[in-house]
Amino acid sequence: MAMSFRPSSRRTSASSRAALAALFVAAPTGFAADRPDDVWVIRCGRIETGTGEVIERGAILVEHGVIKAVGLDIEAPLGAREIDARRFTVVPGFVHPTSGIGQDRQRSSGNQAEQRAHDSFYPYDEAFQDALEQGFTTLALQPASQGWLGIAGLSSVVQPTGGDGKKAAGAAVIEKDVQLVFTMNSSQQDKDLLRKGFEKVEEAVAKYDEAVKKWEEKQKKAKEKKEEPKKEEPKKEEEKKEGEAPKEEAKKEEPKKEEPKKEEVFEAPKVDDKTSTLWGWVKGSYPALVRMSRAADYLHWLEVVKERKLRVAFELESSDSYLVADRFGKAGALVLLDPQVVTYPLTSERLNLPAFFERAGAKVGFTASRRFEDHRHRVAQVVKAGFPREKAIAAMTSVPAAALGIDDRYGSIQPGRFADLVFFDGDPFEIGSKVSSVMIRGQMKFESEKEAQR
Amino acid sequence: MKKHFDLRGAHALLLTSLVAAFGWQPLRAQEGGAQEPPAEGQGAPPTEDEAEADGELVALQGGDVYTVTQGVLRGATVLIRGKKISRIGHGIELPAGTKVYDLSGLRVYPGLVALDSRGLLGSAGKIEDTADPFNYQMTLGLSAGVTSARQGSAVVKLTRGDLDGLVLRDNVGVSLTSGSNSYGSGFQQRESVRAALRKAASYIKAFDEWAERQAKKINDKDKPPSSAGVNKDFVKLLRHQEQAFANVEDAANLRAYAQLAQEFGFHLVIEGCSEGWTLADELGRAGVTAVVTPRNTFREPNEELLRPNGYSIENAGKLHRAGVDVCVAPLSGGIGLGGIAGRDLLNLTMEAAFAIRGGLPADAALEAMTIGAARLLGVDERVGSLERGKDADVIVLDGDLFDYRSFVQYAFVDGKLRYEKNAETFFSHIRPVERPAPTVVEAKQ
Amino acid sequence: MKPLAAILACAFVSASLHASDPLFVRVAKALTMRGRPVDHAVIAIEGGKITRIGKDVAIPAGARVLDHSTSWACPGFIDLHSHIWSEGDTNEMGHPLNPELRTLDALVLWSETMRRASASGVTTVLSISGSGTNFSSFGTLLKVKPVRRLEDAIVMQPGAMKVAQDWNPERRGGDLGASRMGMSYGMRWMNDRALAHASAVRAGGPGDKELDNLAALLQGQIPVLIHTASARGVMNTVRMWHDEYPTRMVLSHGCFDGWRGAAYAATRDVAINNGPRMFEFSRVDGRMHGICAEFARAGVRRLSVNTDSPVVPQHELAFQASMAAWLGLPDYDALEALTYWPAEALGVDHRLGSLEPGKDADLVITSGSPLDVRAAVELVIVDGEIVFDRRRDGERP
Repeated sequence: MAMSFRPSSRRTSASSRAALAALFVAAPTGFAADRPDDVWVIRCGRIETGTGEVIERGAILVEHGVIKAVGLDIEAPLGAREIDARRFTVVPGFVHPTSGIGQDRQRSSGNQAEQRAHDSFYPYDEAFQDALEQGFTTLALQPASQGWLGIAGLSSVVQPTGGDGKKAAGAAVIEKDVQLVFTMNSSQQDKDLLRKGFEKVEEAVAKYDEAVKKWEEKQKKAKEKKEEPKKEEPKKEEEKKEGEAPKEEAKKEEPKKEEPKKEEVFEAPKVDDKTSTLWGWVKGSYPALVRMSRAADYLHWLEVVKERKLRVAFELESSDSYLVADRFGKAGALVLLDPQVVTYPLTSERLNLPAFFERAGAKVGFTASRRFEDHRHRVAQVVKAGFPREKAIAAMTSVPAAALGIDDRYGSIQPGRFADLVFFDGDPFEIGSKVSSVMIRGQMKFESEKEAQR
Repeated sequence: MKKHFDLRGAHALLLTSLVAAFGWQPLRAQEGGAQEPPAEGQGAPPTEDEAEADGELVALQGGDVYTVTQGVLRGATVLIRGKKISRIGHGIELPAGTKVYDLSGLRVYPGLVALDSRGLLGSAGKIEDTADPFNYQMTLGLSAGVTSARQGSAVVKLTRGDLDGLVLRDNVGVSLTSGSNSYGSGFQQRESVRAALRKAASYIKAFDEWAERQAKKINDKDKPPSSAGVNKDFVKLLRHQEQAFANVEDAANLRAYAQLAQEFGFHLVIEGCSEGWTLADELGRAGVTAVVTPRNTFREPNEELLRPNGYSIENAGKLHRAGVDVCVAPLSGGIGLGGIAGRDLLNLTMEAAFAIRGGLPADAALEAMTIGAARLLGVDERVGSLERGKDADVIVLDGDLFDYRSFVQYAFVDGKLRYEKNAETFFSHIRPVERPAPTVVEAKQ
Repeated sequence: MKPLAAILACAFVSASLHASDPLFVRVAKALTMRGRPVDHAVIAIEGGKITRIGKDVAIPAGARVLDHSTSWACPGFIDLHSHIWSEGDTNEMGHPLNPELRTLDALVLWSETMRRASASGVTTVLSISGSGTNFSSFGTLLKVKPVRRLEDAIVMQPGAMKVAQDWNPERRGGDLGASRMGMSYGMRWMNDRALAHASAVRAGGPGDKELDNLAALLQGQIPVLIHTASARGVMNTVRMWHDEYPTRMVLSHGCFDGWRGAAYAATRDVAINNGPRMFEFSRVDGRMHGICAEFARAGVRRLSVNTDSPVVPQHELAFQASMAAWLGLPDYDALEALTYWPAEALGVDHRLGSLEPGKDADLVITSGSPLDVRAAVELVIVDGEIVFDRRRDGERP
């Protein structure tokens, strides 16, 4: 009846967790235990992959915390352990794309692009455990949790750690500097921030290109002198890797020092931190989350951005944004919305904003800015009111992961993604269904009380 | 038994008279001359070729077309291509793909130009960076037939849903009674204006003389006169590159400002002008333009004064007869939703209807709301009348513009449908009439 | 002979006209407001009254005829909610319940504002107190005409009592009546005192200046005009002044979402006097609700409009009706709201509100429909006397 693969629960009481909090050390490497027996075949009742696909009676092969295969006929490799989860509906761990948990309650305004969310991160906020128990496995940690205006800086990705007898529950920074966040209101201030930001980036690029050109000429002359074809180019090609995910070295955006020869070193022009952060975004090393409050903000955004191709997702906060839904739709844009039925401006007429955007052709993801306990049920209400059920899980997982630019590793049950899985004892959107267990990178981080008592 | 019958037919009120001859011609950047502060202004008018350029085709067919400048064409067609009016008339052949609105029984007017507005953009600050073209006040402005409006020192178009084309022009006029050139309206202040104008006049004289010498190359070391302490805006006024605005109400100040304009030969727009009717002839001789509010009830007559005073709804009519170009502004340039009806921009046409009651000919009232106001703001080459090559800013009403029952059914700005009564909540439930959906002209076989 | 007053610098003198001489007015259309309009009508006036009206009224040779054969005639406009006759001196704020007061004590004779109103066709007003207190005073029903003695203009004194029930009087924090419940209690308490007093008088007891008029009101002899707004206010007002204390009531204002309580008024055939706010913009459905139109739609027939002057200028009474029509009230209802229904609401329709033989000769001649803003007022007659004549006075009001 229960999942029969773990002899005992690791769940600890809240008090012991608190007592052990001091011993906990945030260790990003502590997740995927690299042991040979960490190979599992999970036999599931129903798998919702987070990409819209549903597999009944399928299985998931997990090796060392990473999903290797998903499907109906999964053969267990030699030595793999089978997990019987046939009573459960398995979905990817939920992704909260706009979290401020554990973050300084500070306000931010102006251009603060150099701010890094992980620099002011408190890992033991109890809300991380609440998130975990509701199936959230990945949270974007935004810089300045409250009331940020202008350009706020770079977000990090954190994952809940769960707690056990030895360590307190909390969260750990998993990936740094994944996404730039800023607001775009219909104001001269916000528009000027961006305009000036773009200008500075363009200046920096021009200077860099100039330096490279000079360097190349110098090298060429040197080569002609020595008549040796040995030559190393500075890593200019990095700029052309548009759209490439940053992996874990996202902060190495600045032009790097090159060492073509021992005696001669390419000196890249100095760039300030704010500009280099924006440069990283402009050249596509990481995406940005643009927060808007009114429909008009989008027009002002287009006016500032002009022809630039940029990696962005939008967080929309006001019901009047439905007025530009078609423009988001045409662009196939990714929008993050509160899962809520709102009203049309000036009336009490109901407007299912997520469904409206979805029908318009936009990719819709959900933010989780209210209580985690309510999140699933709030999504269920939106589904009941017309948001397509088959896109609801994606809107909680792979779409917000895509907004963060990490969907190649998180947010879906597909080969190559981390085994972040939530086991429900029923349809996740049924009112009585509960989160039974939550797995992060192949390890059970939470099992419900009922399971714990067994 | 209810006795509902139509009261419309029996009255034949519309007064007709000759179109007012607008004495003052719009002041444009002056030709030639040495380099002065360049005139602010709009670009050249669109050429016919531009009007024929690519763009979606929309035909407004079968309505009575009030062109303002070229009379009324019954049952005619206005063909829009892109943002411009491409053709107006009868028997226009519609190319395949043209979207056709059947407007039979309706009236087609140029969009109204509001001389004063507040709140239509839902924002404050630099318009280009803060305007909210989805703001409901803009929708209500369109429902009132307004497609262009002065907002602060700019003229904006109600391009609902778009920022493109929203700002029609900036820096309209030179205000003598508010803003950076404000000297107030008292006697002392007026003398300050006079002194500043004198200074500007002598600078211009010295500059022109210098320019003449330069042209003849009399002396290479000849330097241009210093412009230190010279009000550059006033130089523009005196060079007829700009016109002056003054908000003046009472007879004494009206007289003084009119004299000032005559003395220095600049064009003056008087806003307020509530006692203008008491010295209409003088204002007429001074060649001023007056922006009046017929029901300026804030200036109740003072019974103790031994001269006619206070406001009068005859103001517009009397000024018009005295040769003053008259435009009409509502009591409030905003749109209030508190419940008091007919006193602000939402019923701009009713203010003009009061002007008609007070003796302003109906066609002069129509001009006052359209081409007259556009001329006053220096945007008449783009808006204010239905003419080939002009901006396709068109409103369609179910009755006469000045009839209290009329509703704007459609409003087009830059050729795009921006307001449709039946599609918005505001008024669609009042005397609802189903309008046929537009059709598309099919290609010939 | 009853000469017209010449009071102000702008006064008009008309020595030639004797009110008792017959006068004939020829018009293109007469809106009688009872029965169908009459085209090409002649209205005969004598002794301050209309004697005949119709297409075929014979005009004796040499009779005085006013030819307005391209214009329209309709009954003079009546405003049941006006404050300008007491020039702001309308609120006795010491006590919330003042049935002993009357506006008569605060009225002035004539002013430029009144002249303008007169020239715009307003011929009768109910001059009332403000809404600062629950029972503010008994108003005075007046003809709008220049007189030497105020009594010559009075139609009804005491006129309707002004009650303020909702949206203004409740601001008296700390006093009795800080809430609607307290105010209602106070009004009932005073009403019950007046009714007890009436019984005592019937039994031979002495009169009481404080309660006599209120007692008459509660016995249906004097109307009551109740300032109220919002749906809750409309319900409370109808409940109190129709159901609990059957009176000749006029519900005045009914603004904001008051129309949502329209069914209360419709089922009891209550008179509604709407203004100065003519619409509610509802954030429930995003619509502009014409308040008159909504009351009419709910089945209210006894509809009139007001200016609450000086909130809306007194002379724009007809424009209030135009705006009601703009917002969906049928034209004819809007005309009735200016003429017949306000007269009927106060029980003076035997004298005012329609063009019929025997009625007061109060009429407005306009160059088109009285609702058409463009139409100029040509002639205004009150009690058979010309108070405004565009040709004579040389102005377009």
